[in-house]
Amino acid sequence: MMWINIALIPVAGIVALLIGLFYAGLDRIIAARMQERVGPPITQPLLDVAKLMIKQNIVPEHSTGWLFNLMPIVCLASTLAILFYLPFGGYAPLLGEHGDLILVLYMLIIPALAMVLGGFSSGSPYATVGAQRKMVLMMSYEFPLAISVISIAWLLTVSNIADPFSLQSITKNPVWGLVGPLGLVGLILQLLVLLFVIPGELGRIPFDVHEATSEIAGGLLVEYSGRNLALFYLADAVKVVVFTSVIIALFFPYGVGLSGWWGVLADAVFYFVKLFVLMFFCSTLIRVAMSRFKITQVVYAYWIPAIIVSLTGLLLVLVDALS
Amino acid sequence: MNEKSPTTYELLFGPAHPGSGNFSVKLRVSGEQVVSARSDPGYLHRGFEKLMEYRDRMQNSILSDRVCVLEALNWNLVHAEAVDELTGEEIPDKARYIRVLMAELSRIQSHLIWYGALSMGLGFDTGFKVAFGYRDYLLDIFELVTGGRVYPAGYICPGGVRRDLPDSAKTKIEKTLDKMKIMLRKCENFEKTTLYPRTRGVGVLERQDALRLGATGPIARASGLYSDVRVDDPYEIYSELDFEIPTRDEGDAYARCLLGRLEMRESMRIIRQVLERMPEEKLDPVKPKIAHKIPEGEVYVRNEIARGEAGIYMKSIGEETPYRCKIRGPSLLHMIPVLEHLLAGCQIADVPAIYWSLNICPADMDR
Amino acid sequence: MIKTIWELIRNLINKPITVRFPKQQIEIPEGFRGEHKYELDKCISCGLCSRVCPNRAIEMVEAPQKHKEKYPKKYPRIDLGKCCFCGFCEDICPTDALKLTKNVYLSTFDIKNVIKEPFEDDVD
Repeated sequence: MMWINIALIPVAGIVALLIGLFYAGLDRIIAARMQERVGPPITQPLLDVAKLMIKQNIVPEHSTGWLFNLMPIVCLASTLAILFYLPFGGYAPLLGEHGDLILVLYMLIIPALAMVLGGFSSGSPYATVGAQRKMVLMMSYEFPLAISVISIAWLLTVSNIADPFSLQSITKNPVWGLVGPLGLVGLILQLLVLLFVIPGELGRIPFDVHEATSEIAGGLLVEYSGRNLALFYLADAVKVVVFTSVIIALFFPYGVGLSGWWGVLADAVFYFVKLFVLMFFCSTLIRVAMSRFKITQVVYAYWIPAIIVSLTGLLLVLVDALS
Repeated sequence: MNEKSPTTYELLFGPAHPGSGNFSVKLRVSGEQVVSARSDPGYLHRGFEKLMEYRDRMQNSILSDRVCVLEALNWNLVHAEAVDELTGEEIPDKARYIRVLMAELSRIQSHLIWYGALSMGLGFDTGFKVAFGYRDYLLDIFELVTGGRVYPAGYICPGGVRRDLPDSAKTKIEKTLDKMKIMLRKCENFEKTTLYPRTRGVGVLERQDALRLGATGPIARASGLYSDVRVDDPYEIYSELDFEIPTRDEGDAYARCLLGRLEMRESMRIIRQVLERMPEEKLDPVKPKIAHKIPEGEVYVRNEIARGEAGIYMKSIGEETPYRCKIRGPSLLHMIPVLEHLLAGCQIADVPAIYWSLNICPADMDR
Repeated sequence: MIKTIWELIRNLINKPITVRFPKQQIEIPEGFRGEHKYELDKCISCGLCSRVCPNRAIEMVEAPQKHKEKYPKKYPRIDLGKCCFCGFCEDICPTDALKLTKNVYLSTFDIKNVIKEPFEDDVD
């Protein structure tokens, strides 16, 4: 069983890349339609990556060369690695029982950190400002994210489920069945906070302060070009799949329920529909409807309203579970 | 924090920057705070003033398109008026109406670019794309009337206009005005989530500073100064038309952005009046001539264009070509003293908001 | 926020403003100033077009040897790379030999295509 899983790893990686790029194309078309444009063909992200791959890869003179070239690879590799700890539909994670929710939470930080290091190593003032902003952004969204995720794991602990931090036991016992009406409200609040964290985690408008094309000229990625930029682009596409998978695993772990190969196919399609609906409301719609926040506004948005909402949710879940 | 402090560093906003035009602002930054700013113009200098000394009046009206690409027809009008005043030629009535009509259409077009560029600076992509999409309807009118989408090629030229208004133009303009109404409704509906939180209270230009630094046009009017050349020193047929000059007292970026929309409304009112009163008779188009001398004399004319007050000083010594020509672009004062004054002490994130809210055009400053 | 989203949903349903360019095109109206159309037989070689041209894109050249007998004078050679498409040559031409057409597809990889010779079959 283990060997089959290991053999499946590259397949899963490529499938995730394709899903991410397919979603990116869909996102661009729908965003274009909301801006009264026709928009690019759906294959455009794939073509973008292909073109970036054959372009010249420029390393700036003042950069720390090895760090500058290493970070895109670290970013993509770590993003892909999270994928193998996540269950899809009803299937167990590819790397089996070796990792749990806490590991996933930590590993979600690594791609962002890789971007920050890449930005600092490129030796441009724009990238430095962008890297500082990205660190502030990370500090802002990590706290509400942690509260939400931990409150779910804690809910499983008090419900006497074995191995509460493993993602597999979370998917096997959907959280909605474990709570009363008060806890339901609490869980909905936690879900809202997680949805609010998505655009920040993915660095989309209004939370793209670290890239901010019109302010700091692309920020972190200002010096990246060619293959390195393509790797970041791919990492971004995979990050969409990873982060929505975490939310789907936590809150919507339902499958279609058919058996055999048709069941697998139906589950996959249903999974993509869930991913698309989530991303439409959290990224595409918000991206076209808002202007970029200032860094102070970002910190305020995550620290005051988001934390109050998630703490209220935690309190409601607590009261519900203990009463 | 003084300028030479070791914790500050230099950040270039332009010229090779997605958020600036062909213009550079050198920012001295400490963390996220801008300590001081210095404008660095000259990237778009094409030497029109000298070029104009070697070309006759019709050829110069082609050049006047290029002074500011974003409102070519308004600059055409300034140049045409300067030469008309020198020659003292009688302009047909219909030509005067067409001139005002095209100038106001061009003003709306320019204000749409203003809105689009400000949205782009704030990361609000939809505003940028929708504004430029609706601007294309206006360019369709220019294409029909003048024969070119962006460059009218001296459509408003000394002595009148180069072509009569086509028969289909009137209905097309009325249709486009309805489209512009839709665009204004969109702007208002987008307001609360996009421009408002980013521009409110940012880049406040006080009334006395606006006077002292020489702000004109919408920038001065957003700071509470009631000044508009169309009313103060009416040219063409503006004295016969009924329109208002909107002003705001706040003086911040949001007031300037709002004022642009109010002005678009007024321009639409002017266009409707002009279309109503447009004389029916056929107009003789002006054709270029060879060896057409300009009488001796000197003149300074000023017009209200979308960005503020534009002027041309022209001196002729009785040759085909002007002896000296001086162009006064409204962006010159907006981009150097006003911009430097407003940028000092703001945050990096506010730089594009302030920069684009001034409705600047590097082209008419560098000339 | 609700107003914005309402407006965006309306945009989503409406027909987009733009078109997919090479497949679809927006019609160009009459009177557009595009590529020149030059009729050699109407030309009286007055040279006004070359004098009025603001960019000096029009140069009067002599006919090649094989046409010399039929066309003894000088004829305009138009450099589209210098041309600003103002249409003065069209306006000033006394015999309407020079006209601007609606053709705007002028981009090319070959610099020879940029210069319009008065005698087209001469280019070999």
